[in-house]
Amino acid sequence: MEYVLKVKRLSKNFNEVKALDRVDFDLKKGEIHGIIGANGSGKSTFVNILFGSKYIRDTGGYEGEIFIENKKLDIKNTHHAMKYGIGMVHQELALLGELDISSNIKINRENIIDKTKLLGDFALVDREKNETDAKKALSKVGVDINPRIKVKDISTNLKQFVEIAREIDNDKLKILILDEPTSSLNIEETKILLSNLKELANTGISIIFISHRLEEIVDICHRVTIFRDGRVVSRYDKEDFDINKMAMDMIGKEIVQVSKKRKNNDKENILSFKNVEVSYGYGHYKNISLDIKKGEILGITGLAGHGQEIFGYGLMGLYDMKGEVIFKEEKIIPGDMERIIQEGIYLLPDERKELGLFLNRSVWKNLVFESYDGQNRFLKYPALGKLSPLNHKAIRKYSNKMVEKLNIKVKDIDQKVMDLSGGNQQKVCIGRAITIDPEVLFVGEPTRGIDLYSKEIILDLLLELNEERNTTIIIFSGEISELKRVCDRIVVMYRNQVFKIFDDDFESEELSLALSGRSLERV
Amino acid sequence: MKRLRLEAPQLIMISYLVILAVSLKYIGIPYMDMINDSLIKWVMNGVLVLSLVPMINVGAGRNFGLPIGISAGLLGMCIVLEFRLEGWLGFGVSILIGSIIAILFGYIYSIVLNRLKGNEEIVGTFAGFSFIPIMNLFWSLAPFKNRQMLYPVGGQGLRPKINLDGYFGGILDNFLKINIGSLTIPLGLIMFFFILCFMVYLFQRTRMGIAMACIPENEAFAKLSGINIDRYRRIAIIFSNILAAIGIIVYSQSYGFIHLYDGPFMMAFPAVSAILIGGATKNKATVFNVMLGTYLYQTTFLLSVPVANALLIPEMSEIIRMIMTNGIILYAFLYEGVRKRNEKV
Amino acid sequence: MKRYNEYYVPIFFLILSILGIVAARVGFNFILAELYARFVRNGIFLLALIFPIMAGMGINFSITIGAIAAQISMLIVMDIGFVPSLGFIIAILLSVTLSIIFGNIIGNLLNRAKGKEMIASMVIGFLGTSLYQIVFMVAYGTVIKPFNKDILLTRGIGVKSMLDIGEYKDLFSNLLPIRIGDAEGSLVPIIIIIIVGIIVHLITKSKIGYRMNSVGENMYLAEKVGIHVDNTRKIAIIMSTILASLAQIMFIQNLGILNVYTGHLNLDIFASAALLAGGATFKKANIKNAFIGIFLFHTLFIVSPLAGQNIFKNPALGEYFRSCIAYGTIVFALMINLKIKTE
Repeated sequence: MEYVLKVKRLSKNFNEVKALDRVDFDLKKGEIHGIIGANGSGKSTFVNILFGSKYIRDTGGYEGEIFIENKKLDIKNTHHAMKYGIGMVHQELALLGELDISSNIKINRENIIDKTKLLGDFALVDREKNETDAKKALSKVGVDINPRIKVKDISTNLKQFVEIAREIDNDKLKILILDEPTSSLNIEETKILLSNLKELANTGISIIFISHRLEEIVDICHRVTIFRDGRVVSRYDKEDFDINKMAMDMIGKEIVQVSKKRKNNDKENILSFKNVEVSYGYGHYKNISLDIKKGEILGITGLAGHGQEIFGYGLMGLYDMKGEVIFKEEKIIPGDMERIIQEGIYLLPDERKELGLFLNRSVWKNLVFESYDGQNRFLKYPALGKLSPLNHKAIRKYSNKMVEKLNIKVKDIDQKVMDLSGGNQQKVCIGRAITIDPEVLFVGEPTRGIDLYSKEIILDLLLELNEERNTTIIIFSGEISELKRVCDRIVVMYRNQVFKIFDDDFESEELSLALSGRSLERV
Repeated sequence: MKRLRLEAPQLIMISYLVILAVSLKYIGIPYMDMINDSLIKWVMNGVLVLSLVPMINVGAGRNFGLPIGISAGLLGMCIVLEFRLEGWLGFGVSILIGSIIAILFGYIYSIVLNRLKGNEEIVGTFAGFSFIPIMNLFWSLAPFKNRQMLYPVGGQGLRPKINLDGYFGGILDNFLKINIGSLTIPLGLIMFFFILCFMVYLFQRTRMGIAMACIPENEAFAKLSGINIDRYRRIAIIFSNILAAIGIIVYSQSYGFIHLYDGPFMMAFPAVSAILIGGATKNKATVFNVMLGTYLYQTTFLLSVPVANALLIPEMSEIIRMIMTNGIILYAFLYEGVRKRNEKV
Repeated sequence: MKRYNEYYVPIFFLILSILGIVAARVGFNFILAELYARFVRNGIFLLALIFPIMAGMGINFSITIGAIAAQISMLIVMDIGFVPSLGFIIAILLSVTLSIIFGNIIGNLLNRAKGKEMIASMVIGFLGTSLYQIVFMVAYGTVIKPFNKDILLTRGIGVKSMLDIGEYKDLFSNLLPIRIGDAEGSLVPIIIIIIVGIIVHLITKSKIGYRMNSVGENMYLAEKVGIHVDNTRKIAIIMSTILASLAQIMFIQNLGILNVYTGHLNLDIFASAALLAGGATFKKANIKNAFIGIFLFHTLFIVSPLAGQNIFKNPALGEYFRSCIAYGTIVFALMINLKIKTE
């Protein structure tokens, strides 16, 4: 059997973090090859390299060899990738809403009317032919729709099909990469798509299929490769498929040391979400409820896109959240930031650089930014309120103390945050959280992109904050092993719903399975 | 940050200034007169340039909608003239009424700009442009009664240029004037300017000023930190408008006339150009940028007039002024575009 | 989300125009005659705005540069002194050449100012005006020696601010004469405008038109599927500049007078306001918008000074009112469009 794609010892580093470590991979002609893995397992880095993503190039390119039809190639950009016959359908849809379906499918491959060919770029487009082509491509994925409808007027599910059709329409297409194509589809549509993908594969196109839904993978793939921590941990042929084994492989089984004494969990609720609705991206999710108890450390986890961050982001107005949120027996309105911060709720988001720091400003400014409500001594004349100048002496003294206490490696407190390493940046963030001293602290992916040594320090800092000041901490993170170490309870999210809450049985297989939306009873 | 940014526009500007200064010697115009005039011109336009600072720092762009704030100041002066308030009283009350109107105009303007974040400059330009005909309708219809303000013929509608003699024309220019030899320093005028600058400087150092400066750098983070961005922007926009109103009052007392109708039409561009010459960037402007930029800009064009006249092409000075003004603004747009692209990589 | 209906603005203008006609108390024939002149003079300017809008660059306020290209060509033709019919053709060829050069420069500049195209194009328009002035007001007669001394001011430096080109005005007068209202005119200019309109329409349906649409909607995505974004945007601007220069030639020809220093001013504002009055937005414009807009907007323009005269006994008020309408339309369009974008 001939190999369309062969990858040898593919590696990729982001700064010091190894995102991909010597991955070998191959793809046969007409094969559907599934890739599964938890968040940060390297699977998206892998396909991004194959598709020549700009992000890969900007962060220093990749190492290793890629062969397409036994020719060694260097995929420099998306354009290249397409020329070699690689097509990719992203999770975030890349369609032009104002244009109709046929224009989207035939974008930059329009048919032109023969008689006007001489006009070059000004040649008239043959709309009829475009539409026939579009219909043909759509029928290959099992959709029958009028190609004149504007893309913005069709449902998200249909858009997914249109996007796949666009790639199929490319007659050079050899390899089709699908990144979670079914995440927005219902059962019926999923079925249609999957059966059509099988047929597509029969025509000789090879498909790389990424999904979190193991049933689908098992259903259509010929082979499955499992990624964990940037490595290929196992590979299954069709005959050997075993969903439970795959799920365990994906999460890994590390015995972690519990570094925390668990407290009794019979405390009062400090923050409750009652049947709230959240919308973000293309999704709209209803009836989500969660109670957070005073003084606990709560971990929220789930695979990417399953909504581990919705509580923090929704409450703080980054996502659109509606519904009843009770904080200390009082209703609060999600997104009303001024009040929420005054009440003592604070968020350190996972996108630190985008949402949590002023990269161009000094360490001390980032440490004390807007902490003045609680820290009156930072203002020179507190009576003036917002018009008071800052008390630089007090702030500098405090900042120096904090830098020392948190062991932030800086030249001095005037250094720009941009120049710090990821770990130190995170320490600055936590330092600010300590300065603001909230009652409830949401922390997103506290250890992402941080070296091993700093990880420990940061987790310890969070534990210390919880123990000394009795701050309620909610950590939403994909790093399950870390959550197991520090949390009192762990919530597993699945499809943007609270799937299961674990009190102490963190080591159970059930937790690993819950991530893929499975429970022991159903197995 | 502390060192002066020297880029193409600044360099061209300075070399042009040097060429002009040298040629003045040959034409035989005394430098002292020019220096005296330049000090007046500096403050005359300085406050208007200063008015751009709060909006730039809050990330609401360079205020191309300057005519809105200016209209508030003009209205304030017209009301004072209607009640025939003279001297310091007239000047003070003009500023007071002008500021109150500026708060109102600024509030409305801020509603528009807050709805259209990220497009403030084009929206501001057209908001300013469209505000002028509205004010023109007002000037022609408003029931002012003071004959000195009305058209001499017909007696209906305000005249385009209202003389301030006998009211508060030159009141600041002549206040605490110091003569050292042939050098005349309008100390009162300069002091007034410095006080305003100092106020803006102090404001930038307050908790609110610091928070405002953070908004353009990372709006999402500022919002997460509990800053009500819309309100802060509104405050900055109103502040800018108040300064613009005061700016036109200072301008008018130096000029000796209130210039109504299409007078404010093209005032935004020179002001923006001046602050750019002073080294201000898209999201950061300091009082120093204002003082330096205004002085360079105004002095250059002050000097160019006699030189152009000597060459017998008087239009030239104005044309070159326009080329410089727009060239500098365009350069800023292009330069920012490049930098943005680099940041993304 | 409330959908913005593309007919709201035209209907609003229709109502205003009708009110204006009633208040102005003028005859229908008078309006028709004025409309004919304005249609001939301004029609193509509106068409010139369509391509940049399609390519997502918003309104191209630097169409003034296209107009400048036409004025330069006309001046050169006058200076050398061709006979009208030959001169007209040479002027057209020359202005197209100049437009391609200028359009290239503008396109490059605007590609560097992505996201700020509108205000940048406006500043480019101002800057171009000043550079043009320096050439014809200062350099002509000093550095450049004209063939025809009559076009200079008496002091020998600078071109006169107004040149009579009456002989060009009669160019079409005997071809296909028609009577529209009070005006005696020729059908030729109208036919020309309609042909240009059709060409513009066809280009929107061509490969380049499709590309412009894609670029206009999402630059990054268009880049991803292999469209040369910068190039497409540049072509849009070049075509816009060419059309603007043709429009200005039509304008000058119809007016019979070349206003050297003021002829090109403000036409960007009025053209864009008229296009927007026809229901165009900053993201979408077609020739239908152009043709509806020109009638609605200019009707209002014709009647508003007269209405001002009749109601307030002050013609200046009508003048203010119409600039208010022009700028107001653009502000309104900005609010509607950008608001939708942020939603």
